[in-house]
Amino acid sequence: MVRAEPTHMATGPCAALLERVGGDQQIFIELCDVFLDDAPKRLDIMREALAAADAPVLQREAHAFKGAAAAFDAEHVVMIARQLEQLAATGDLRDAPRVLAVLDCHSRLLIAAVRAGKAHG
Amino acid sequence: MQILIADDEPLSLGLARAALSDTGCEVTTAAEGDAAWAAIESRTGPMLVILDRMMPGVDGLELCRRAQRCGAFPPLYIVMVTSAGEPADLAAGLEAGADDYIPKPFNRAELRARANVGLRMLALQESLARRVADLEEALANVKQLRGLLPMCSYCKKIRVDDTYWQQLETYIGARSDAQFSHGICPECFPQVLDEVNREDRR
Repeated sequence: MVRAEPTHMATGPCAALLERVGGDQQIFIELCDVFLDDAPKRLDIMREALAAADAPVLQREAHAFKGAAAAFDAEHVVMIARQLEQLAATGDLRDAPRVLAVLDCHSRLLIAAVRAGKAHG
Repeated sequence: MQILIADDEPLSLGLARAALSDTGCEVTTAAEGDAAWAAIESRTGPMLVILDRMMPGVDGLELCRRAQRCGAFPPLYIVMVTSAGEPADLAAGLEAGADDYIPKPFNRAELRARANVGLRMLALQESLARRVADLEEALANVKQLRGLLPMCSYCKKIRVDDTYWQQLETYIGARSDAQFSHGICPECFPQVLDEVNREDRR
């Protein structure tokens, strides 16, 4: 098991995740891979749910996405995902396309940061 | 002891599994509610459940309610995973039957500490259940003697009914698992010896 001081090995969102796993590099890299694999799929599912006006699925996926982003302390992504989740919970999806577009934009930044952080970690 | 981690979000699930992998418990995972319920229902021993509140299929709250309805054996300890800053979720989870909660995002040390509390509770419940079963078994095997016994002040027989008197040892022997040996105490011994000698002289 390889351990490292979180503040020396990663910055930004990856520093938060590395701290959560107690500096365990191996688990950190595994979890980064899990996120990098899962996040784009979940964004796709949210887009499909919105196209199908499926509010319960949109709510559930936004909730799960929010949980994943929170592990990186990605506050903007968490906030926007929460907004989308709450919109979907009301069943009124009129503002959802705009919110999903913003979420998509911020999520791309997060994904890029995680990819970079994992490479440097 | 078994640990079930039920979460449809793979990052949280992976984080929880990493935190609990070296507890010495058998760790299983479920990515949706129906699979989680199947695992809970088929548990063969005490089980700690790290349960996400919102999952596809049966959600975490409904799983807690079902677990409450289906009885407490083998013991179950549920830690509900809730979103930070949503106290309504936390209250709903505890109301539904969760034993503890942990807000997302959690870190490995925090989850491990809460899981250890749960494992200690489960061990205690299991130990108490075993003790109660042992006591019940012992109680079933013990015949009870209690109440006011009418006893002859001279010969020490016990009155069994209005007309019948029974030797003390017969009475106790019939109503308990006690057995009697037959010796002579030092106080009685000289008297008995006299009687035996008198008999011999005749």
